[in-house]
Amino acid sequence: MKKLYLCLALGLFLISNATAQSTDSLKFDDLVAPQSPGFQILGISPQSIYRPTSTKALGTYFLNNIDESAGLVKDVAIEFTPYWLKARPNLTFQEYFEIDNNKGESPFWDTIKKTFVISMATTDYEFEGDSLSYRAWGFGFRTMLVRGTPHVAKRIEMLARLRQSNFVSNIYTNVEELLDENEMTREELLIAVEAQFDQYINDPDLVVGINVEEITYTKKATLEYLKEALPSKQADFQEFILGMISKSVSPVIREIRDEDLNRTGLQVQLSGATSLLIPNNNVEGTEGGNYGVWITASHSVSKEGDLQILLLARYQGSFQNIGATNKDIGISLAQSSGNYDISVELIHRSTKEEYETRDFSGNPITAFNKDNALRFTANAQFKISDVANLSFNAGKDFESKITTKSNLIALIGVNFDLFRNSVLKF
Amino acid sequence: MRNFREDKDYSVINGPFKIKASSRNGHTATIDLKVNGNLIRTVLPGHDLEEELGTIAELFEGQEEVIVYVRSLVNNVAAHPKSLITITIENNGDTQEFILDKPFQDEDGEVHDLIRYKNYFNLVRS
Repeated sequence: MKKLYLCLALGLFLISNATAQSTDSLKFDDLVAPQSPGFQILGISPQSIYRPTSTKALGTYFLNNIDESAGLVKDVAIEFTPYWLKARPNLTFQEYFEIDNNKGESPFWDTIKKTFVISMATTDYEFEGDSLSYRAWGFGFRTMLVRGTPHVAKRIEMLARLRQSNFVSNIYTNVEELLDENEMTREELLIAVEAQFDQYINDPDLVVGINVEEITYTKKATLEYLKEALPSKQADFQEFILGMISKSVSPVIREIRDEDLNRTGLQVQLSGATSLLIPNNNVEGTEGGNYGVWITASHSVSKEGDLQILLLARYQGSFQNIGATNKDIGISLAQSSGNYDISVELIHRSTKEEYETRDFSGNPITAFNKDNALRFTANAQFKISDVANLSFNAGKDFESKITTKSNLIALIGVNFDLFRNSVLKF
Repeated sequence: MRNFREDKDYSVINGPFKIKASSRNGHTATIDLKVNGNLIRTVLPGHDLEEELGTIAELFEGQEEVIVYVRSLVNNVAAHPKSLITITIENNGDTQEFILDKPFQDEDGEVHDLIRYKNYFNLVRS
């Protein structure tokens, strides 16, 4: 029985990390789904996270982190995408980058398959005066359900730039191989670079993916750069050229990786997590801990002045205290242009708490404490002239049976920026 | 940047000799094909190499040895942590496939934007 009470105490302690955030302190950003739900459900931020890239590495990691009681050791922190645990020999760059999808797969399942990330962690809890130690295991996932629309025209333009930068990088690779075999003076090296470009200009069929005009342009730019940047010492040529092979393409590669995250339209992410409580790390005594589900939906378009909508929803509870749940919903609307900025934020919280008590006759009963609370803020700023802005701020704090604040505040003001364009003359 | 050299001997009989090379795992590459030191084709990202080099008799004309050189520069653009190059050689109905993959992250933890492969196929008369 003592064990059961201790488990219950631990469960309540854990849920306090995740769910017992007071209504007063709840902020809109608190509802954002965690990056690694398996860590967040335990209330930890591991310093070191293992990210396996193969099923073998994943299996080895777990084998190396099991202790004698068949439980996981302390401070496990692992995150992986099942889709990327094996090679994808049929996945072309065009399909990956969503320029072209020849396979005709359902976008919904394809999105889930490629974005499903699992996170898992363990941590220990100890309570004063308790001889038992507890290990909590956290499991979580996050996945996109709707990924938004990529900017295909921009991606095609980036692929064209990748071709150009790769062409230059390939020229440098040829030159580096020549330097491997022959010593060259500065002039000889510049002539060799020029000759590399000229072979493609003289026979454009030698290369697929770039035209003569582009080759001529890149030749001019590369030679001008080399005349300035080539080291004076002959001994430094090879290292310099070797560095240029990567340097020529790295900025475009990084832009492409960033662009993969840049989408417009509707995007929906689902995340979930749960924890297990294991006394003395003996899996036979395992009990459920906390759980949580997060949904993030956003809609944005790239054009300035369009409406940005963000919806956040969070549901949290505990298997240790089945009656206690939090349901939070947050909505944010924002619109901006050169002349005005308007934003509205609304948070609704619904909590339910179950507890044992006695009725008027002294009989034991289970009572519920339910609460609903709402808070909103609105901000608007209009440009009156180059130096003056009209601002409007309004807000309503949470009003509920538990928190008694119910104050609507509205402020209107004019801000002057008198010195912004001033030029002092004497 | 890392260099990987893979030397392969390849026994040929006769007939048309085809070579294909592509990068996958969501990555893309520049692929260079040389035969006996002469550049045959450079293929830039977004395309696959696919060349028919002629018959073996034509390839060996006036040559004691034929060396097919495929060099690939794989761009680290996709989330897959490994680069992947597949080279396929087709000759007289026989197909051989060479699948090469290397991680973009080296032992020191440095993540590279490009990985270079150098593959030589020494053709010998059977």
